[in-house]
Amino acid sequence: MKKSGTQFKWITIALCFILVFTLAACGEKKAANAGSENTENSEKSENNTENVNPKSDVKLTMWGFKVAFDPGFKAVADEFKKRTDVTVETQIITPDDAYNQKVQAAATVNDLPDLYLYWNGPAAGSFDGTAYEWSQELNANPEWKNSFFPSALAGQTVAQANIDEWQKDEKISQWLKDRKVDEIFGLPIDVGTFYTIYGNAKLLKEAGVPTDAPATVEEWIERMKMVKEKTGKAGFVFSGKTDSVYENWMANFQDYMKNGEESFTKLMNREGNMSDQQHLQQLKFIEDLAKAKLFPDGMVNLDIDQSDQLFARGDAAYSLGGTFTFANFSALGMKSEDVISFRVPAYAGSVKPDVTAVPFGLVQLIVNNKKKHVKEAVDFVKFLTSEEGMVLYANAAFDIPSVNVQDKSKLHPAIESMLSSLSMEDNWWSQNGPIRDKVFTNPEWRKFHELKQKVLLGSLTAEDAAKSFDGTVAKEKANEKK
Amino acid sequence: MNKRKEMVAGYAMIAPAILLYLMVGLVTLLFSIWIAFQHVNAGSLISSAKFAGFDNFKDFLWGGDSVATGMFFSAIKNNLIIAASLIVIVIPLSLVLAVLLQNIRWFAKGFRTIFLIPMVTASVAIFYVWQGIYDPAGALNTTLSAFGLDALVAKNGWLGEINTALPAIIAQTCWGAIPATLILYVAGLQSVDTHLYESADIDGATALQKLLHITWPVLRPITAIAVIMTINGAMQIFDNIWLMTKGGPAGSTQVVNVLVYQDAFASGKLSRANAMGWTVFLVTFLFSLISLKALRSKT
Repeated sequence: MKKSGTQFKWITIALCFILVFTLAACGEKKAANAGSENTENSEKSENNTENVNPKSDVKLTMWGFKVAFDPGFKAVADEFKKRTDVTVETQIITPDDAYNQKVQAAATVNDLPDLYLYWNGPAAGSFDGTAYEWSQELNANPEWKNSFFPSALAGQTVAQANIDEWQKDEKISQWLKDRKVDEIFGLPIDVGTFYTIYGNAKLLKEAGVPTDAPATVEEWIERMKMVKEKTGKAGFVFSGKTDSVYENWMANFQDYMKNGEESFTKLMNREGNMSDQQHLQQLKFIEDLAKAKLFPDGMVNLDIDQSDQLFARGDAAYSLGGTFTFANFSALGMKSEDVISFRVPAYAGSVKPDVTAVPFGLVQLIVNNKKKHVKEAVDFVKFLTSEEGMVLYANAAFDIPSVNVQDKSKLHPAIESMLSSLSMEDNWWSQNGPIRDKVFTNPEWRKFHELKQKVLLGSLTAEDAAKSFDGTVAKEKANEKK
Repeated sequence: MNKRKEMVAGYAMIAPAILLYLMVGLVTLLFSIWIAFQHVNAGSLISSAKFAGFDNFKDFLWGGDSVATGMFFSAIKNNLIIAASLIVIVIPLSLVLAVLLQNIRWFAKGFRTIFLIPMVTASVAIFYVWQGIYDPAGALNTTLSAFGLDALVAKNGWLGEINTALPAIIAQTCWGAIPATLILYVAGLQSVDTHLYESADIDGATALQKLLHITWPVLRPITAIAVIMTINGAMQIFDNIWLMTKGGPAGSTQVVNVLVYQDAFASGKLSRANAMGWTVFLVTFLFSLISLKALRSKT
């Protein structure tokens, strides 16, 4: 009995050692693979302009965060596979914040896939050298480079203003500080704008409200009041839970229209005060609508999708969105004739009431420079952003392509119509992304979100909220000087 | 010799687990401490690292980033309010329920199953149900209206008002926290030797005397564990708040782990997120230690 116990013990020890060695062997193999990956990677990057081997068995993985875009990528991937035998497998992770978390975590441990979508911005999502740099490729093929809408590519290109900001930031990595003007770390796949108000045509007609665009914010508010009075429905809805939706999609643009470049720049650069009369409307608008009960109950707790659903259900007359929002309404069962849209109105007396909302790149596709098949991934992006690829993508994803497709008849009529309604002529607003984007980088705008919610719920007046915002700005300015 | 062999065999058997712990657990913890004292960027954690000293801590503790500082202290306050509420509500309630479960004969097993439902149901599903209850047109507002209590109705929903969002979160958290504490107390009560109660009866002891001198000495260390677990759980609270309010409205349900998540995965401030995480760990550790000492002193 004792002997069999000892035997059992030794067998167990032997099994443990086998297990440990097996695990170690697997680790070794992975390390070896990683080594060969790096070697191949450098070889591939030297030859990244060559054609793909038609008999390739390469499989690329691509991550995305838009369910609606996936059919577009699949259509392009199918065509790409026919031509090159390279498989591109798409994986969608939703909602946006879950995707962002996954990408950040994967970047941290160098586990990003061959290709991944990211929100537009110079060097955004590039993760210190993870993203492939495109300027050489683009400059080598001017026809391809010029096929992009200028505003789409401009939003991706590193500008001197970006470099100046990064140089000032002590916490930023050396890699970002070393960036050069005109570098591009991801290619835009679509264009669009925010600053779009959608109206529920049925509800407006029921209330006897005109379905054209109101000339001013004041007129627009009057129309909301009419809807409330006649139907009992809310006048306006947006996501009160998601920070920056109101600020970035509407209020800052209106501030720019109302006050012009100089005043808006001062506000964003911490040289102006929110409590000054010319800027106070950013919070006053919320206060006025809340007091008039023009927002739906519980709006403060609605995220973007819930806000769209509420509008599509006919529980609000107007909704804030972007060109990309219509696809959502369509998916929610709204017909195009039931929806009207217009640019965010300007306040009466605005100095620039007719500014056009120039579309900019919304989503970029990034090639992971640290993976084995960089060349194939680059070729896929090149194919996607060719006229043929963009037509395939746009029609299946119902998205406005980032490339100026010459033969517009190949595009879905609805996309063609949306495209023709957009102005592609650059203006101050479209050229000054670094100033606009302070809404994401400066901490006072994080505070603004909280203050906006308090005003919305009536626990703070617009004036007090503006003073609190200015107080935060003063503290941040003092920190800057230190 | 035989004993020595057995010892070697024992160590050999636990070696894989220890190695795994060292690799996955300890190294990660040490790495996290290291990151808290660096400025790092995702994608190049090691190569981008620049020694930051206490900069990351200064950001949220001493106004380096005035907004982050305000949010951090407000979040800590909310964490402590949740912890205190759980201790005051969950522990006594669990104890009462455990005593009742111990004494009832009818449907005892059924009640035990019912009380354990929060523990065995998928948390995301639970949070969506609670969100429905708290909705402006949800069950709670509808019930209040039906009983003519319109003054108590939360117009923007219970999660949509600054004054009601945190109490609503606390109520849901209490509901979810009861089963774990209940199990501890039920196990504790079952471990009391029934002969002691019989002897006490013979000696003419009252119910209160039996509770204080027989039951409580057994339940005291269990209560210490329950308090520590509650504090720990309240300081680490995240998933229900993230799914139901994201810390809003206006920061009224903001807790530290939501801030840590937002810093790490929305703003990419990994170093500050780690620094915040360790600060909360120290606060939790301190409170747990105080509770342990207070509850152990007379054991």
